[in-house]
Amino acid sequence: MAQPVISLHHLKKYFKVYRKKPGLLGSIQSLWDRQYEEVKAVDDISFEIYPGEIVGFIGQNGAGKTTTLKVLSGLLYPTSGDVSVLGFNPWDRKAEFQKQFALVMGQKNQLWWDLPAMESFLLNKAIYEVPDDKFQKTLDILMDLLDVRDIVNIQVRKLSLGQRMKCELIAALLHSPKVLFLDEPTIGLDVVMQKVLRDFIKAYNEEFKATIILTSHYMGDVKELCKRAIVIDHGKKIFDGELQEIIDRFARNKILSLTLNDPVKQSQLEKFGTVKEFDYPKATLLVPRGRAAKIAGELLTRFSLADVNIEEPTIDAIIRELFLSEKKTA
Amino acid sequence: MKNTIRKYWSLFWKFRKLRLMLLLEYRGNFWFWTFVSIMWTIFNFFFFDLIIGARGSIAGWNRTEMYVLLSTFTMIDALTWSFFYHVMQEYISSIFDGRMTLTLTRPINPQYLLSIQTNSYTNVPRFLIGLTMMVITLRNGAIPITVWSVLGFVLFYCVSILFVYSIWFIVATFAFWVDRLDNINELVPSTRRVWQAPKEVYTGIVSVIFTVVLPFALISSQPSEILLGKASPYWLIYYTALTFFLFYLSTVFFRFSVRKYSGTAN
Ligand SMILES: Nc1ncnc2c1ncn2[C@@H]1O[C@H](COP(=O)(O)OP(=O)(O)OP(=O)(O)O)[C@@H](O)[C@H]1O
Ligand SMILES: [Mg+2]
Repeated sequence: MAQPVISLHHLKKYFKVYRKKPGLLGSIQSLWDRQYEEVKAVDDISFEIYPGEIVGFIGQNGAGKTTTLKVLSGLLYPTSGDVSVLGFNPWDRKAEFQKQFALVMGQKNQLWWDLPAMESFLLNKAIYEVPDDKFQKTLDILMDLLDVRDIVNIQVRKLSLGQRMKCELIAALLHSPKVLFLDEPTIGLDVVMQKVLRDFIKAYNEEFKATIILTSHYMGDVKELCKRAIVIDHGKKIFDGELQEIIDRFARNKILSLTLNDPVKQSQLEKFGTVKEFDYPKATLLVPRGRAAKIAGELLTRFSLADVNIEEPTIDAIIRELFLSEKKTA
Repeated sequence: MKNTIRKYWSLFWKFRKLRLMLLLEYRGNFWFWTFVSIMWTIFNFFFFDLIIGARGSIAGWNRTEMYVLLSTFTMIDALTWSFFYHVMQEYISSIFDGRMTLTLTRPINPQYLLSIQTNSYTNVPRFLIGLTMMVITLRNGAIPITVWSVLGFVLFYCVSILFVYSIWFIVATFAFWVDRLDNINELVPSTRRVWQAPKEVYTGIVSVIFTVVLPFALISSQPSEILLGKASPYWLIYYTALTFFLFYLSTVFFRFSVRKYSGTAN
């Protein structure tokens, strides 16, 4: 087997935070008496990732995903443990290393707001020292993949959120990084844009043979892109393996979202599955994964529906199941 | 090495170009602040003219010499204000809102990138006013000018810029250490009154503070004294050495603070 591109051994990252008692008195008291507490953001995580893999890195809010990606990017210094990315210790922040990876955070933007995205691209070209011909080639590929040729010369502030995100991605990838850390790249985007970005990430992975770690709260992202998933919870790794295995074992249900044309009784719907929400004309049903399509069909013949959607359960729901089963076996 | 210098040099000018493009985008804003800065400069000269007019000289500096000093101050202040005020503001807010993260992943010296990323052009006319006043004063005052005095002036003009930069950068870097430090960026500009008086104005303990410990009084005095042929080599050497030391300190403090930001201390 090939050498791993990324390897973590017993990584720990603890933060020291202080707790303030509520109220003004608490504020005054904290002037001389600060109660420090340790937050174990990452608590003994190990894994290896091989060339060309796209790994889904999932966990609930505050699980430690961003912290791990920051350590891998050389932004945070580990409390203990060994980290190696492309054979470098990220913390050394060597230019050679930095030219080979990119950290993309869905909520952080780097484009110059009042200028066309192209200007930011050219700036990054200079910072990353990308040669002219390679720059042009990469830019062409990326612009075609994302279909943004017409907008890169328009001021960024005049673009839609989705268009801006596409340009952000191009800016982050112009130096054709071999390793990509994507921290919730699809956050806040509509369903269509999410799909576009997923397709792009997949294409980038194939085109540039890139190794990618992706965090997301959307099951769709992970399911479509990642064969392998690493699940963390409270800083600990609780699963590392085939994503399909998690889905088979812990996502037993799918979600049917209905929009009804005519009023029905809740009891009528309950014959088809567990009613999670019912607020006419909308209803949400949990149904067994294997029978979701069939039940949807039955509902369509039985009631007059304006709309029906089959959705994956949220990642958070799956992780809760996984976490519970961990506890039971432990 | 040669490539690195070329990269850093060309990046510097790329940022200037981007800022110029933004200026053209927001012309109204530019004209307004340019007007304000010109008015401020004229008022400043007028104010000092009144004081000198009443007293004939200030701390042994006659009218001509005072005008050289004021012109020097104007040229230094125009540049440091144009650059550092905006650069440090951006630097400080990038610490608070987390954009610093991206800067640190770039294959370039982060302090350099932070220090060149922005500027304004509203003070360019002010610089030109300062320069014009300088030329007029030197001619009218019949002050002998040599190639050496001009070179010395330019050199110490640069030392003063570096001095202001280093102090300002060190002050701004405190933003890493305190959760919210409002108005920290106003600290250095609030000392500008001290820069524009001759160093002999200060006596006693104040003199020790402003010429030795935190020699703000040398910023305009030193380059001016060279032009006027009254510079003391001891002061020049001390000022230069201190400036380089402060610059070195700014880089050390920055690296140290980044480590704290990254949680090395934990
Ligand atoms: N700089 C910091 N100082 C103190 N605590 C921090 C810091 N950064 C993160 N933490 C804490 O570490 C834990 C993990 O945070 P992290 O941002 O890695 O979570 P996450 O998995 O990315 O969550 P989300 O899905 O919400 O983005 C949280 O409890 C958070 O409060
Ligand atoms: Mg996060």
